[in-house]
Amino acid sequence: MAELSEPDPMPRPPALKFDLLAKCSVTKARASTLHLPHGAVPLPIFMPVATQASLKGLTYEQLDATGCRLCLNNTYHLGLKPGQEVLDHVGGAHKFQGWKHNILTGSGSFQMVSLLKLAKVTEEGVRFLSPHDGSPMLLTPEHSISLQNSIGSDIIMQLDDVIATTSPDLERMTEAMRRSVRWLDRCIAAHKYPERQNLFCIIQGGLDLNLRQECCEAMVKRDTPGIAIGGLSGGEDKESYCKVVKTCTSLLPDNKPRYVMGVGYPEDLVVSVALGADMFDCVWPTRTARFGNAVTAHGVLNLRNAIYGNDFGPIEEGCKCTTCRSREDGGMGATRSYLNHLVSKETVGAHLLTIHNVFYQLDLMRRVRESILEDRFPQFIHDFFNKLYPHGANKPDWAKKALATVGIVL
Amino acid sequence: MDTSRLSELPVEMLSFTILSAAARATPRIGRLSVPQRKAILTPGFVATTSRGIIPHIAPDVQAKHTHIPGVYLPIEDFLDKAPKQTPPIYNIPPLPNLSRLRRFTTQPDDTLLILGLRRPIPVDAPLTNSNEAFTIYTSVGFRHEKVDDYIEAATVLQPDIFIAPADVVYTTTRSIKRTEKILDRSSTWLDRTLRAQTDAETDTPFPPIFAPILPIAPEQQQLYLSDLTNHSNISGLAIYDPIALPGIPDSLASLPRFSLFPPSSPHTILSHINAGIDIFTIPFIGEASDAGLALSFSFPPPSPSSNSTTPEPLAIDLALPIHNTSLEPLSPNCDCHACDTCTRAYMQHLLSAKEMLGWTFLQLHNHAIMHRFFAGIRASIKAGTWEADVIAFNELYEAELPAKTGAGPRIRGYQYRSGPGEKKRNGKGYGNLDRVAVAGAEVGGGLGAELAEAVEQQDVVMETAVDVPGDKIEESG
Ligand SMILES: [Zn+2]
Ligand SMILES: [Zn+2]
Repeated sequence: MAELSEPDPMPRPPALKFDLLAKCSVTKARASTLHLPHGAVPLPIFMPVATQASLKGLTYEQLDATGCRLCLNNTYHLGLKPGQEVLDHVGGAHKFQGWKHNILTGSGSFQMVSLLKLAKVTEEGVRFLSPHDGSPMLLTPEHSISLQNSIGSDIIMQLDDVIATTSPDLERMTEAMRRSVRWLDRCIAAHKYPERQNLFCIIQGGLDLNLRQECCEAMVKRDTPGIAIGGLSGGEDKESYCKVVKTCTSLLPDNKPRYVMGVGYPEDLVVSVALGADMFDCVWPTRTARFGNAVTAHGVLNLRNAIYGNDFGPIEEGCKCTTCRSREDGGMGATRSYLNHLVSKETVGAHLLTIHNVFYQLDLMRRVRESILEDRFPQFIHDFFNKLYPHGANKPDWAKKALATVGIVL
Repeated sequence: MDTSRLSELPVEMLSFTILSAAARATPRIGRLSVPQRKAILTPGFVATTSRGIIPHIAPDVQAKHTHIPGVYLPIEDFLDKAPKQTPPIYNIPPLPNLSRLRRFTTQPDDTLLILGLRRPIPVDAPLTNSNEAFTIYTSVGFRHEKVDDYIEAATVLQPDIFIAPADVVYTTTRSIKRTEKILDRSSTWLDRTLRAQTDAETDTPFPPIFAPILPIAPEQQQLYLSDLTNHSNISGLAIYDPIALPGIPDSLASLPRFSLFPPSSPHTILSHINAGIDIFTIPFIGEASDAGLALSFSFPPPSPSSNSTTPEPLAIDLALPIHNTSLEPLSPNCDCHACDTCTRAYMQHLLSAKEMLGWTFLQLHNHAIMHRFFAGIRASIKAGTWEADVIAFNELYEAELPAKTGAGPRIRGYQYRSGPGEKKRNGKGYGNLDRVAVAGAEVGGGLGAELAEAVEQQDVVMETAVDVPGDKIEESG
């Protein structure tokens, strides 16, 4: 197995400025502001996923109104549709979709490996058959970066070698981790616009803490403007997930944003912030909206359930999203009853729930941030879990254990 | 104009002013106003709705980015739970200045709400109407709705305009006996509606009534029509088929005429304006949006491009790949929110990716095109160039909307029912990725959700058959 060579670090300065504003006095939580090419973004943050350059029926004005200032697009999907030529022609994804704020793009490796049965990873890149015409294709680190350069996203991700965290094959896991570091070097070399797009590395190594440590050390040397922890949220148990996050954040420098990929359940967000992570993305809140599920402080409500047919309250009492806010307050004043009437029958039902769910996730992180700034995050965690699990006993073990490692006893 | 009839209504309820020539002469321009609502300038149109909303347009977007003055709401869209349970729309408590109908549907404050029986293109019913009930189709199937229950809905729901019930049969062949029944029932039902209005309490006033004009030849409904002239409390006429228009008695000529007859093209609209329609419902707007078509006509028509003899299309098919690099707006010279923010290239992408936003933008654009179309019509009538403009329009544009190539959103049962020999529309296209969807659904967030997401994008926007982690999440919090 090839050993890692000495790195060529990222050219400076990066296209971002990271202001660390406060650290929780008990946990590892941080509050900061990330200044990106399309405006400042408060951290910790949840980023909704507009996979194909559109957030599930929301106009970008509606997305703007949820408070979103940074959303995801997917390189793999945009590379297929509309394709690089179109993106170059129209001048990038911001112009293409009419979004004035920041965009982060995944490299496409994740989709490649998880969606395409015949994908094969070699040192050169990922080989796969085109879903359009079955012709053989190759995605290299250079090509992924070139696509992301065409997309023009504010944060771009390296191509990494992703395998399921639960894979028992330590040798393959080690190979994937080291290959990801080598591919990072190729991505850095291929990146055309470091002064206006921020390349983030992705820590790999599965659930093996030694591999994670080796990867952190190697990648920190490359000095990318931000650091992602990848390969998680793939079906591993949550205890292992928390251990990996905590191990990595302990090895990462203070002065860079830390992004845990693919995480989105509210309790996962709150615990991960306590473990020192700053950025998260997940399709779950927007996807689940289309099936009638509303995310609230008291848990997820399936509004298709007949019990909501005559429930004339808002999705969540006091929610300030455009869907829930009263008419006098400039909102739509939609009731649970009306959503029950619409969901899975009219696309607008999905729009209204998506607005609520995205708002909920962003607002949760806003409140987390405020509590860190005022150094009352530990109390916030207690309140949050007490609301979600009103009968103390059934709070999840994994959360108790993880929080105990950072000084919180639930 | 005859205003004696109007003066008998409480002034605050509804007024229709004819601004051109004599009431009897067509085409005519006018203005329908109800306090606190947008006025409908006529000829004009109201949007059609499905389950209380204009399809693909959330109420906040409707309020901010459309000029739509009013909407037509069919009662059958709200009665899924009846008769076993009281439908929620009857249970929702009204608020000050906020009727049950408006509160339930979240329709904007200034949108005029017109309540009627059935969807503009009703699903053909295997049941027949009875003396006491008419057939409706809800998301759970066909059934009878009692006429008296519908009449009661007028005071309970408080729409701005209430279409009185009529025994409307949506088939072309009809026996003489059936025609007699239609006349009998419709006039009984109208009488009951008017009596309910007289009996209404002051705290729940009966909304202005539009009386149905039946979809049969004028000579067949002569008696029914002359009966109408005996009622002073009719605020307008609901036209189920323009063939009946010549039969409207002179004393009713000053009433607004609201059409529930679906026009097939803008040319039909022009001819119906000539026949005397004031306010339209236009299902082809939504059909065009679902098909990926951006309407592109205007009235009066632009002068034809130099000696071209081929007619111009009425719409642009944005689902076609030729648009995928075009930075043009959806159609030239449009200032709608969609054209402001969305290029043809992006629209083509949204349609081919089956992203819901594509249909939203097309609905905004197509409603804006119709808004300008009617503004142009009113200006043309006012300027006295109407006849020449209609001829020029019919000459310049193709007769029908382009054939549909876009697959569109999934069509629900209550929107369309496939008859024998019809192919199921928008069938499933999962193919061999089906299994992944199920696996994805089990994992939950993260990878599972993303997998399922990607699979879903192969086909469906909102599938109800495949469930997601939802139920499990509810348990685990
Ligand atoms: Zn809400
Ligand atoms: Zn437009």
